[in-house]
Amino acid sequence: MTFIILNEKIYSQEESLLTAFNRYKFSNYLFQQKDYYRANNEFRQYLWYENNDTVRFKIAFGLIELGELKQSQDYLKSLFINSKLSDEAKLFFFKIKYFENDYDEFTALRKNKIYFSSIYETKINKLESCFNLQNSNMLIDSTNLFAPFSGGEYDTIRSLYFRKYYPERKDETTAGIISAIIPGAGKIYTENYSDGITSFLFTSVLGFLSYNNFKNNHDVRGWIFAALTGYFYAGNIYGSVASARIYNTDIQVRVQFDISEFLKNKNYFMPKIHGISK
Amino acid sequence: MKSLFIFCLFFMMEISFAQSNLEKQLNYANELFDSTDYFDAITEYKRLIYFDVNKEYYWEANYKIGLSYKSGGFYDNAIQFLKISEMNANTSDGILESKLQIVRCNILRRTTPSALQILDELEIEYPTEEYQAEISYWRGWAFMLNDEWENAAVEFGKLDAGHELQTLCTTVEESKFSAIFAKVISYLLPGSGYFYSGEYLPGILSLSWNILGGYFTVNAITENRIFDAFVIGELGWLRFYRGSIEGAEKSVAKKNLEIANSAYRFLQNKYEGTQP
Repeated sequence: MTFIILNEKIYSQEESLLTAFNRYKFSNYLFQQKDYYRANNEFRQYLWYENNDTVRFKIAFGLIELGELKQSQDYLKSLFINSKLSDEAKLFFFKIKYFENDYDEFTALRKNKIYFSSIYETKINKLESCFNLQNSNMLIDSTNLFAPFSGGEYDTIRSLYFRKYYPERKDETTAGIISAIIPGAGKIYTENYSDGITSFLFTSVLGFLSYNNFKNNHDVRGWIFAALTGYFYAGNIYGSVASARIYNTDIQVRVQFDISEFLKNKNYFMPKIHGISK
Repeated sequence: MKSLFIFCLFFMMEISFAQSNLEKQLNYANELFDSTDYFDAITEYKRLIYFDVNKEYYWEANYKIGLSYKSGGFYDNAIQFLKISEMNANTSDGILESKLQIVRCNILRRTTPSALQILDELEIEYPTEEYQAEISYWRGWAFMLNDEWENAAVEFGKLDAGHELQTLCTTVEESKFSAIFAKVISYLLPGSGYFYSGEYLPGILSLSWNILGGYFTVNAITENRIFDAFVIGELGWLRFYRGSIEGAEKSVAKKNLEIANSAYRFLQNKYEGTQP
């Protein structure tokens, strides 16, 4: 009898590090260390022993962190029905659609209530509003856009909306005209101060050189400097128009960046799930 | 009495088999490490660390994880685990091994000041001759990969006069061109810096442009066209004059890089001693 017990003991001890429970503990440790690749390998091994929704969700979470969005969707879909994490899985599914930049599918799923979580409806709507603001070049209805937000979030999204659709643009024609009157003024108007001053000095010096040479009867050099003055004068007008265009493009780039940062700071409106996400 | 005996047997087995498991895990991880399967080796060492509650294998497991990451070129991760191994080392040799591996990672990722700082600390902590030789060896490597060949030659000279790497460093140092000399002679005669570094065509072109620019400037001065002289001198001649000086410096830097690269190729492909 003692021999049998001891034999059993030896056998169980030899396998102890790779038992299902130990694998689970170890993979959680790797998951907390953000070593998602290894954690997922271990979680997958664990699923051979026991089906566990939390583990499936953790695998999906790890895959999102690793940028494996397609695979992650498969794991999330397996949680949509009869799972305690069904709503969270659906919400994360929408997050993946955002990461995939698939606005049409995002909207279609939300409108048709496919894979939709009513518990997290507000969060999905918030994510959609930000997605819409980022994606749309046409003016969009602000009432619907602002509806899911309140408090500080409302102020931020409102400010981003106005910055996107009613930006303080610099008029390209104005920049060109004032540069024609005073060289470099157009660039100063577009807040490109160093280029504006350089342009003014360069055109002025060349103009003076041309004038001085004509005055001292050096006609050939006078014409050379006059041609150079004309070249730089025209370049300064073109440059001012281009500078206004760059300024206007930069406004859009900055707004897009700020929307992304807002979403990142809000963790894409994802909830805190105990033991999975903070 | 019989029950007490069985209890004791169980108790002993609990300890010895738990121990046996960790040892087996270590052996398995070592096998993976030895077969250069570094990814799986790291996983198994991490498993060992997780279950090793008494931290008995902490040093070795963290050290090997560090080495695995180092072999994969993940030097930041390697240093992170080597530092943990250093903190968990039970012997002074263990600490030294971890620290030297950290130095080697710093050499490889070109954070030379960090490597030198650790070596300075080790020099004080391990004053015996045997350790000093190893410290000098790695300091030499740090200097060598930081393009400080003269300092490297001094360090390798401490190992033994005529050390293979000392000879290499001395040869490289002697073959290198002096950027300061190239600049000074370019100040005196534009284009000569190019000639010094063996770039003859750019040297001739630079000299010609300077002669032409100089001629027009002097000509304008002799004809009392002071403003013209100023403009031609500033926009033409001085531009070429400055260009010849900067160009000579760049040419020397390029040549020196070729010489250093040739030495690095030798170290990588033909040098048989220990490498970082």
